[in-house]
Amino acid sequence: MDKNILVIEDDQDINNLITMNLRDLRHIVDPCEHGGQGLQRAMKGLYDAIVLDITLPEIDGLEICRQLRASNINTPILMLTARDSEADRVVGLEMGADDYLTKPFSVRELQARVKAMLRRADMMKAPDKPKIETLEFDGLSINPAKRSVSLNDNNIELTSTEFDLLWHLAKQPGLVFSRSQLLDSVWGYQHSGYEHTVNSHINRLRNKLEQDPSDPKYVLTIWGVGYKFNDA
Amino acid sequence: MMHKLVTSFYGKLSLLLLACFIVIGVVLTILAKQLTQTYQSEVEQKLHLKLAEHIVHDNQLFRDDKIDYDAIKHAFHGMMILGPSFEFYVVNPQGKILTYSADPDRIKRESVSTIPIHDFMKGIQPLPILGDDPRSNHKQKIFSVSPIYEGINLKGYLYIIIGGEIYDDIADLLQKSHIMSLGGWSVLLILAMTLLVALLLFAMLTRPLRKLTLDMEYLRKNGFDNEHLRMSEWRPDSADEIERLGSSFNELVSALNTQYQKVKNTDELRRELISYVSHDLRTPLSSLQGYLETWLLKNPEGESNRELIEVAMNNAQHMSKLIEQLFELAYLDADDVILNIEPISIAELSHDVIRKRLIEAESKSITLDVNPKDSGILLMADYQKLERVLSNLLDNALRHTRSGGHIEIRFSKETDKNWMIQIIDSGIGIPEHEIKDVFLGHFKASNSIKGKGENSGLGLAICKRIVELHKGQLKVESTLGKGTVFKFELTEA
Repeated sequence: MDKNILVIEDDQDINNLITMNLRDLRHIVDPCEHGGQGLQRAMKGLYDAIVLDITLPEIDGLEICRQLRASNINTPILMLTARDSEADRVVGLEMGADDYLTKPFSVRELQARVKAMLRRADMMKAPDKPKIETLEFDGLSINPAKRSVSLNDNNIELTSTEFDLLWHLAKQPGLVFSRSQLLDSVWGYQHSGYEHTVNSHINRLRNKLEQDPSDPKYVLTIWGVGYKFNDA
Repeated sequence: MMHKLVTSFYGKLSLLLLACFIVIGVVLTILAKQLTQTYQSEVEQKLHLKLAEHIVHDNQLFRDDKIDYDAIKHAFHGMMILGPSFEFYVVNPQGKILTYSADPDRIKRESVSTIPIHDFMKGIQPLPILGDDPRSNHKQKIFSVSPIYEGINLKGYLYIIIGGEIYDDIADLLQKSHIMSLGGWSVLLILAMTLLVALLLFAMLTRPLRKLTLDMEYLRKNGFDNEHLRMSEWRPDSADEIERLGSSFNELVSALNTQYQKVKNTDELRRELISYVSHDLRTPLSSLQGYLETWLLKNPEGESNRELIEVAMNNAQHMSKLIEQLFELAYLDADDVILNIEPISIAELSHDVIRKRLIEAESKSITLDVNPKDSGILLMADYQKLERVLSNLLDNALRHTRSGGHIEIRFSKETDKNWMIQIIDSGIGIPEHEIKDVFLGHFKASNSIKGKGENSGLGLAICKRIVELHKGQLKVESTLGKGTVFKFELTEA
């Protein structure tokens, strides 16, 4: 794999734990226990991913994240938070983190998240991306280049994940995806137990897209199996 | 407004005062009328005290033991010129009426009492002395009388009823007498002024009482939750009882407020402490769990001491879950929990929650179901929190249902806007005397299936709190040996 990963975590044991497990994936890991030092190193923009603890002395993870993004350093960041309520702020408020994990976390999940993050970054960088056309369905228009969606010429604001989910469903209308398939393709997790994330995003997507979310026109539920985009 | 006037303390006082003044006014009026009448009678009688005597002196009314009708007629006629309101009667010494000047039809009595006649002649004071009015069966009027002698023999009396202008009612009196009308209006004016002054005085006296009432109502409305309560000023050293009452009330409020703040602060500290502690526990727990997991990853199945590490790992995970719950409860108890309310397909969410537990349920031969399977039912709730409620309740049901049992999440429309969500199990049930304790954080039913504590008991407390945050109420019904139903309501989107 040979990716360069920076780990900023002030607790030595946890830092060692993360470093050890990421090295097991054959990555080059640079552990760092001080926020300021970590920020300096990250500022060089030479890393492929950063694992960042949110609670650090002196300068906290959110601030590091903010400064990096402000300096146009777009290295993918996996934030470690101590509570779910913080997670909302990290990712939901577009603080700039790409994903988060709540402490205490599973080592296997940490590995899966980092892998997914790196894979997504690779996909973004891939130069030979085939040109994708805008998709049109009965009033709904999805433009993957601009990542914009409009319904009857009205622009609809979607979050990044919501767009990815819609795009994944809409580019193969009629095909049924299970929750774990969607989780794997859209979120990039292989870890089970997060299928409810799919459901909550489908729910939110419908509230934004469908005129009558109780009788969806675009994103349909196949009971006991999963979801599909309407091909009728 | 009218109601308040009647029911408020000041209103009652005012009405009472008004009633008193009306009574005083009526009594004064009646008294004035009586006095005026008596005064008038006295004056009239005094004026005509000697009238009968003069007439008797000037005319010989008896001649040869008999009434001299001609003389009487002459005398009557002469006197009538004085005024039409005089009536003349000649009565015998016993009071029997012998002859008169009036219209015979109007005479009702045959005789008059001689007692007032004797009183009059004796000159008894005070005037007026009232005598029988022959024109009425019971009325008495002022009169003038003089004995008629022939020689030395008393033959009878000349009895003159002085009609005069006796006013019949007060309106008449006021209308006809300038002085009386002036007096009447003055009295009325004084009464009105006094009433006004008294009402103002009452208003002034009851003002502190109203102030105190407003203070108490303000407190009741705003509670003790304000750091700085806006209270009125009272003088504690005043002789006025209400001032002292108000001052005592303020002291009481301030003492209660201090205690309230203290309790609130303690509660806040407790919550913060739990929050910090569970927060701080996560770091060592992350290490513990992480290193154990790493060991399990690095050491293949069949390693000799693998079980030991697996037990440690399971317990670390259990502890992690407990801390999570403790933290969550502390978080949900805070005043500033923000709900992200959105329309949610309850059937799909329930189905999701059930899917996650299918393997566990299958291993225990328990069937899980959602009814009705209609993704079109949209209810307003916070997605994550509602999921937590359903997960916790389902976990609870799974723990208390034996193999072969059935668990169902069921929705039904209760009212126009409300849906009832029920989690129904065919489990062991909860003993009746324990049912009220199920939502307490530390509760564990005496008949719980598992001896070892998988459940901290916080799960149901968390559910209850989340449902309350959704303005609902989590209820439980249970039959021992038959099963338990947890239910709550949500509003339709």
